[in-house]
Amino acid sequence: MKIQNGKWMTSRVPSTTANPESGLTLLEVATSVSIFAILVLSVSMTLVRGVQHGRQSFQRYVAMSALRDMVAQMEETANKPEDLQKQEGIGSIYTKYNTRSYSIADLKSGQISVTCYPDEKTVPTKFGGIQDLNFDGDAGDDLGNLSSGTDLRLVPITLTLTFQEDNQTQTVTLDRLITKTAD
Amino acid sequence: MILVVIVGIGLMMLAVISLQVTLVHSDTRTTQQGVFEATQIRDSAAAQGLANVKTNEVLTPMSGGGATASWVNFANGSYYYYTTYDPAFAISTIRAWGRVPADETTSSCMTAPDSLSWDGTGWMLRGVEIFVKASRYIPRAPVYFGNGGIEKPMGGFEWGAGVDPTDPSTWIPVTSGASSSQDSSVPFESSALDHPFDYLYNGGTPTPASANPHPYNIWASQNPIGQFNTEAWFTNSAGVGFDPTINLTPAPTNAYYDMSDPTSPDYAYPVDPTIPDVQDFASQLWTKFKDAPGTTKLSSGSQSGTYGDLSTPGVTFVTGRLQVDSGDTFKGSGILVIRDNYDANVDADNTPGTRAILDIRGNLEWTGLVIVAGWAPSISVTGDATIVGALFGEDSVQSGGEISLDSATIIMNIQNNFRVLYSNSLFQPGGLVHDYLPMVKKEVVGIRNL
Repeated sequence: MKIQNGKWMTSRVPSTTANPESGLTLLEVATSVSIFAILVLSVSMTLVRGVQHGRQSFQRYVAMSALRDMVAQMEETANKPEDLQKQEGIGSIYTKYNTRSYSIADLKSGQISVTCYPDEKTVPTKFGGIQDLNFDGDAGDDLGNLSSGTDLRLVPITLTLTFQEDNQTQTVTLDRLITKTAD
Repeated sequence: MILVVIVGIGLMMLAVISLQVTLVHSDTRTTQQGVFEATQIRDSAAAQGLANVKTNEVLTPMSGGGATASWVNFANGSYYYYTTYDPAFAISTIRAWGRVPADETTSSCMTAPDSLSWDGTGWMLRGVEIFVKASRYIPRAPVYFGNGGIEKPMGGFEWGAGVDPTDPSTWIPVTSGASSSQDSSVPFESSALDHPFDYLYNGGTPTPASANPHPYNIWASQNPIGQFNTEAWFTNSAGVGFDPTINLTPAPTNAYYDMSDPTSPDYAYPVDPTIPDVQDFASQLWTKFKDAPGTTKLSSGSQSGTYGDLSTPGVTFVTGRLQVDSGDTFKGSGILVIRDNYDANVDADNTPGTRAILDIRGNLEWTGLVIVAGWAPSISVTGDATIVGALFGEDSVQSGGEISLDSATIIMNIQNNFRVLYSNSLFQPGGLVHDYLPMVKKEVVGIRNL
């Protein structure tokens, strides 16, 4: 290519019929480059966003796996024979886990915090509201202290997992009822 | 120019593909989240159904919505479950579902997802089916005291510096101030022979079935300390070096008892950790029968009279002390539960207002199962007592939490005749007591996704 008479000329095979005025103007070239740049930019942004979404999906997957692991751990505790000294058995779920936090190494600043709701009178509506957690026929008991904690048969828990992603704090919440599945 | 157009079109296609990939990622994430939430809600519903079945022995169909089947709001969705019971196989089935909205509009269908009228439009649904096999615990020994067994007999277990409950070599024996004892005449008789269920009503006839080899244990303990205390009570409580085999039938020195190995199930006082928690046993009885027709609830203090017979067995609760005064007779059949008034729901300090006491100064004649379970339980016999069936006892330390093995024991002071005569037929299906025995063995025997 070369500039000729102020116009950008493409190298072409000389032709006897060639019009010396043919070729692209600078404006055309600039427009093309701009369109191309915009296209490249938008495609890049879309690709980056796709990658971000992929990473976020994976992070969410890791987060949900971490929550599932935590639930499995609590269920394992619940299924052990009742022994408050060793903090085993469903009766110890409240004292062992309530208000505790657990780090999740697979997520940046990942941390699971546990909240149990052992007071039958104040079980949040998201768990179905007031309910009988020790199956004694009423829903008016506070089963939060050590001794009566052994009376729990059903433990409403909320696991809140927070972690850093793209300089933002992400939160995944899990609400579950835990019970003893083993005999 | 053509090149620019071609590259441009290529880039646009790339952009479209990339956008689609992004949308797929987004949809995947949404679906993952929905499946996760629906599964957790489903599992919560299953947990509630399972807790119901295991605790309340749900034999009649029920649903998560109570009497009227309906979905219950839970977290970001709702759950539904129902149970069925197959009496032929004693199997409860729980079918539970969790759902979360997947579209902007969702159906308002309230029926179960396995119903023909179920409309799942707009919902992400997950279901599970759980099979729970239930069975009643059939007592296999005339006497069973949970936790640490009999409290502090001479030579029994006592806490002290350096004592490790798991290491018998560190145990300190009781040398003075024994809490439990019996008279030197050893008036306590524990018989593992199979007595006829109507033994008391037929003047002790016919003769109980012999045991060779022995079909039942003469005593069962929950742990080695309970075993240690029980043996100590028999051996030393009536005087150091007393023959512990007196009045135990079959005598544990018989060849078919393995006296060489305390861990053997054929040991005269075997440890059997599979025996259900007595407190749980009593608690289930209270939950199920406290308001049932035919149940008798007696208050603490002196009692006498007849509470059921061979044609009308029932459940009799005494909250506090069952005292049978001299000259009085307390007689009956079925299950007799002596309990404290501790309510784990309201009592936070583990100190009930009453203890669980069986105090026989007159006569006790009971056919069935006698349970002494509660705070600081004790059995005192200065009169004359006979139980045909079995005797269970356990302390309620920490509401069944079994905190301490030396305080989670039962005081047993026997100064006059006390006979516990095993009768297996009472507990077998069709037997007098069988239908009152709690379903203590409830195991999940199958689970599958719906």
